[in-house]
Amino acid sequence: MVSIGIDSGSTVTKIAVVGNGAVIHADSAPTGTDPVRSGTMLLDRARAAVPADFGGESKVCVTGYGRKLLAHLGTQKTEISCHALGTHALVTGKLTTPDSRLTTPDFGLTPHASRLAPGFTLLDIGGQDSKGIKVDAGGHAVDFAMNDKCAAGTGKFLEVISRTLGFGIEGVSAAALASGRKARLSSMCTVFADSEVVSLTARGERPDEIAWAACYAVAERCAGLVKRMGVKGVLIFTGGVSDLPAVAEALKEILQVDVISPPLARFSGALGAALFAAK
Amino acid sequence: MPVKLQAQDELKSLMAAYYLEAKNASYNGKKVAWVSSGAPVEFLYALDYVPIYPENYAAMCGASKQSPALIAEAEAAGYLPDLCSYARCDIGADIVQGGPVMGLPDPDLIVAGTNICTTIIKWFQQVAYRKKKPFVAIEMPYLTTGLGKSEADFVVAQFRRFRDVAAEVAGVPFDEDRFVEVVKLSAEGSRLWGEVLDIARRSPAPLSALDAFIHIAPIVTLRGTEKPIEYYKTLLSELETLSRGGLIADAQHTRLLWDNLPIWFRLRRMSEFLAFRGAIVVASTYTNSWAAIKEIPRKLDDIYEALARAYLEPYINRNFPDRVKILSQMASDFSAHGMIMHSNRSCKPYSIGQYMLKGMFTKETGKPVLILDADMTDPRAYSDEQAEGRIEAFLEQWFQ
Repeated sequence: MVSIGIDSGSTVTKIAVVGNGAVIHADSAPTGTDPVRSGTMLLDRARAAVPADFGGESKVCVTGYGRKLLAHLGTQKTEISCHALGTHALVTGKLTTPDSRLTTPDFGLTPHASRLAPGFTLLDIGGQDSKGIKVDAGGHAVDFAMNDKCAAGTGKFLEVISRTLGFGIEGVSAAALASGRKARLSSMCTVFADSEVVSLTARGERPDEIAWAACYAVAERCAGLVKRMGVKGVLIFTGGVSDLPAVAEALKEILQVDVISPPLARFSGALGAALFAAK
Repeated sequence: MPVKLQAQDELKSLMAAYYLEAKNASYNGKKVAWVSSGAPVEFLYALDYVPIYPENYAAMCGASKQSPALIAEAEAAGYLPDLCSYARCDIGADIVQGGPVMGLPDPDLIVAGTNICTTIIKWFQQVAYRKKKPFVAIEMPYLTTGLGKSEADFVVAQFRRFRDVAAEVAGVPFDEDRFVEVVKLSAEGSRLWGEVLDIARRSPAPLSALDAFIHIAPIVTLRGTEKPIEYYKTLLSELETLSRGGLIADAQHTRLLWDNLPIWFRLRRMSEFLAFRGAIVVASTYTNSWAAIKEIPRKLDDIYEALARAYLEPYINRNFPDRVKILSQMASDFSAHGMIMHSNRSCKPYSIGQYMLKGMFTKETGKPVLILDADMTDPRAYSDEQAEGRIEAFLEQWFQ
């Protein structure tokens, strides 16, 4: 028996399979315009990947924006609860990852273990929303704050800016880290910031500096969510944008805390859903 | 699902008659005043004005989903999207003579109080400028340290000035006896409205506070006449029948408070969304803001002072410690388990400080609070998926 979590996000659908307290499969695909198709395709792929010794049975829980469309696949949970539980399992070592492709043995949490044990604050930045969640010692969300109906402070913002700069989304982070980290964008709005990028480019500002400014702008916007929840010493950073080290660097600079992304950080919602499926 | 009340049809007729009378006021030789929701309408009814509430009209435009087109008209005329959506909605309705009653009748007098917000002063000033009509602004100071004699006297002096201007525009002398009658009717209407709201203290609650937002119209627009009194008696009797007859089918596991104005264009959907999840909003700070004078003093001067005090005390004119007391009392009276605070993009005075209030309320009562980003009449600042996802997460987190 395995439990499967599907996180149908606005940009990417993630799936995680958990069996015997270990992550045995994690996969993702663009959500596209048909969340049912991407979710079902990932589920078929996941079931095929589960080793035969787990028995062929599975329980499924769905979360994320597309969860209602995928409700026929299993139970539903909101992404707040799933991110809290999934991230908690990752940072407290409740889930092991025997497959070395899925994780690295030490991701820098050891020195912070005592600070994380009573609970922690996590920041998840996805394609369409960003959320700060306060998690208690048992992995439950005790408070949360999310962005309003606005793309500023989300992956969408970086996607738009990276297109204007001519970088891929990963290229923005790499360029930002190589910059002098001085430039700032003054606009909060994605549309205005995009035209500000054009103006900065026209003034001769270097693209890597602008890339840093964009990463810094996202971090600055999301730092507000984190501050509302309160953060002590260490912030756990998850979601697709946590794959961009420049945003983590900017968060460190703004919040003056350690910023750590566990392995499989982009799968924390799906992992949480898998854990709920098992309950 | 929430029950559809028969009184709702009566409400429709009542409001249709009210707007019809307003539209025909000039034919009937009556003066029209545009009034903010927190202005002392008793003086106007005593002078036989037809008071019109642009805020109520904007709410109607929102509830009937006509606001986006009207807002677009105002923005096309140069009003910024950051301006209150009630203001944009009404300005748009005035430009195209749109909305449920095809625009409001022109005013002879315009009056606004600062007890609900200060945007309304600039908004109505602009109306006065366009319509070339007199405008009276009544300053009702924010109760930073509570309500004392000096604040009441300050407002009473302005009430007298307003009374004189209104009488001059109406061209008739002010009849103090008639005024006292109107104040009595206003107090009785408010008392009955309070009874309607208080019925939700029962479990199960026969009326959700989200549905009460609809029934607020008579106490806002017709306060000081017999009509709200008659209407709320009918409504109360129907609610009593529902309650005593055990006719409330919805499970109400989670009882919530609501802070701020409603999301007018999603009122029904929100009510059903909550009901489907076993939750109900039992009280709101907004619907409870229309409780006026409790007892009518004998002397006229004292009536003026009592009225001034009543108008100085709406929830959003109170300091934060007072607001927390009100919220905590409300949570206790209505046996609420938590609260949704609508962070309303349009209504800054209501929304500023909500994060602080949230913390203060939770510390005081131990009850959780969700802050929900939305707007009262501009659907462009709202996303169903985001808002409902947050409410669902809040319910899942605390109550399931």
